[in-house]
Amino acid sequence: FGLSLPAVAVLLVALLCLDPHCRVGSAPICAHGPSGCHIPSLADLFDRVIQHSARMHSLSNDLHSEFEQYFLPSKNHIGKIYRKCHTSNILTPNGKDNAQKLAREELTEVILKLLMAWRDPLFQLHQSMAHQQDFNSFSSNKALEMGDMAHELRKGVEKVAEKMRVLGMLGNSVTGLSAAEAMLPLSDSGEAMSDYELLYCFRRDSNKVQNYLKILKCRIVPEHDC
Amino acid sequence: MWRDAEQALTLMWLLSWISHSMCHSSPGRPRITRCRSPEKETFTCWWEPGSTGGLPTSYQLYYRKESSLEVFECPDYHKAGNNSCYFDKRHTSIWIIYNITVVASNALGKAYSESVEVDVMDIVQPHPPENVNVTFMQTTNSPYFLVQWQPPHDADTRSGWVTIKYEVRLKIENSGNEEDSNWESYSAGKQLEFSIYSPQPGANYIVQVRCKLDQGLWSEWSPSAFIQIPDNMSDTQNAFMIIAVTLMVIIFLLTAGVLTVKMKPVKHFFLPPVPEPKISGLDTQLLKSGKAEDIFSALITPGYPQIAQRSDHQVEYLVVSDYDEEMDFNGKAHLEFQKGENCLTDTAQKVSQNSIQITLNSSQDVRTTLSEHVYSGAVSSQLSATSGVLGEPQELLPLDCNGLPVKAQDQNTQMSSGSKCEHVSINPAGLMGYVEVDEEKRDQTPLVGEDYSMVTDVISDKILVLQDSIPKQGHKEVKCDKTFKAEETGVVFEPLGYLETLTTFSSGS
Repeated sequence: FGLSLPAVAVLLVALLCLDPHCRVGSAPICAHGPSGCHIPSLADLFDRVIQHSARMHSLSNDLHSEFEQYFLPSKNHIGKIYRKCHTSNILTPNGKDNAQKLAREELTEVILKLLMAWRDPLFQLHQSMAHQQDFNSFSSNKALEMGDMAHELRKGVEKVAEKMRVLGMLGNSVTGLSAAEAMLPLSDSGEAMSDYELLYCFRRDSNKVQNYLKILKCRIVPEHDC
Repeated sequence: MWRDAEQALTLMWLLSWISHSMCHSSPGRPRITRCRSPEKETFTCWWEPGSTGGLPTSYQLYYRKESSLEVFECPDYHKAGNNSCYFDKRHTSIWIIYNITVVASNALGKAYSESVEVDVMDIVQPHPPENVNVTFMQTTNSPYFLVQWQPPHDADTRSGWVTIKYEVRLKIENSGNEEDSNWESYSAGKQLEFSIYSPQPGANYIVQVRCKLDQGLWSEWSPSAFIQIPDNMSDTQNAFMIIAVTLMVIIFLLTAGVLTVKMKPVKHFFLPPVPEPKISGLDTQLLKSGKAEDIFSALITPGYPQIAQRSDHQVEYLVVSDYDEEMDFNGKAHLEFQKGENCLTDTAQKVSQNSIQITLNSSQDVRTTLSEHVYSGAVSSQLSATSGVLGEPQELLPLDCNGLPVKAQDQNTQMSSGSKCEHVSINPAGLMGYVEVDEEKRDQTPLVGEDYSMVTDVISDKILVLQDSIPKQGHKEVKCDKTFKAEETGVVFEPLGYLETLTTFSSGS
């Protein structure tokens, strides 16, 4: 054909740069305001994430009680006190007053840290439950759903934080949002935690997330249900 | 003797001393019965003491938190009553395991209860709802009663810390009847009121409400609220009215039915009789009872049949013939039909709006089916005549309004120019297949009046199919006129020029 490679490259670059209409951009779907489509308000977003967290906690409750019923017939709680969850390092408010004293940004950050820390352990939990024959398929499905839900919830809370930042409700002191790291579920002695321990810890942490979200919501958008 | 007395005294003293010292011992082990948090901010634990050992015993509660080894003592022994420990907000941490032990101690020793581990998150049980009241709402058509309540005073919903859900239950207070003694429960969500529709009039209801926080434990049932539903008088009046009206209607229907059956005038009023086909001038009673000659003489009255009019009216013919074998009458039925003014004289007669379909099945058992279809346009119909004698079915003779192979002679002196009816009479006599009138067979039982037992089929409103049980001759006549009458073979009671028509057919080739 006769055109050399550099000439082709120059042509391509010229096309891309000179014709702006060739560039692919993204436009928001709801570009035309309220008449175009329904933009969820902050209150709607909060309601959604709170519902999500309630569902997640009830799933973890079910799984934990199933475990206790079938695998630990003696309701012997000795030994619990020495169990340490891998999220114990994250400082979380332990009561209503402490949670209310925390600033919005810090509370949001705590929620995101918790959710992020459970991303991999929940996946591990589902894997190990699916491989054991002791569990029926319902339990392992619940574990999978729980893991997905934690992932979705984290995305949802991030959206809520984004919206709050846009509306000016959040200061810029939130630096930890992107820096929340995934943690390995190791107990004190360095061994991997058992399924039961993981379930116990997640049940507790999901209850924390649910409570913190509700506190946050009623502080920021106290219209209904507060 | 003194020795015995000394021994007895010593023995008694020893015994009393022993028994006295046996009443005192270290205390028995206490037992922690339950711990509860009413609002997820504070909690209380209760214990049950063991034996006291006869000495004054004191109890202490010690606890340890999950992550530390430091031991604390109960902050408040009195707020929640005897043998209890109340942890206030400052001392309560949620999502942490408490290891709690109760120690009973007296002069002779101590006793430790079993340790109990609690997480406040697991022991949340609120107080029951407060100020439950019930009011009866009397609306016009759907009465109901409204249950209202207040949340327990210590639950904090305003900050969103907890979410309360309620449940209402009610039952009818019935002293003797066991069927109604079950509670009906309804979930009331987060609202503070609840409506119960369609209550039983005159019943005594007991209503209770309870609540729970998030996924915690249900509270105790609130104190009962009572309500008496008044007897609804308008309802009973309505019931009486309805019953009375229904009875009246039933009685009316019964009398009408009875009267209808018994009395003819009433019967004619409710069920008007269907008019029978009547031929003017024909006395049916005479036909039933009289002889042939009388009948005929009755028929031929002045002006009946209107023979004199024949020349004034058009002659109508029904022409049925086969094109190819027109002169061969073997086993074929010939019917000629012509409608005078509308049809051409030639074979291509045009029957204006009529076509005739004629089927002859066999000469032994002649069942002739005649049907007349009145079409608005040109149609073709088929004539199929079969003769069982010949052992072969007749070929179909197409009858077409435009090119009419079907011819039958007919005289319908009463026909006006616009009329569309015609006579058709077919008489396949033996092998000839002629349409023939056998006048000697007239005295056979006529099919008249109300004797429709020979009719096997009704094709249109002008055609009856008759069953011929004496198939000597296959007389079939279909008269399509306003006064319709179908007759069995052999007997001709065609008043409208039929006699003339009969004579026009020849019985031979």
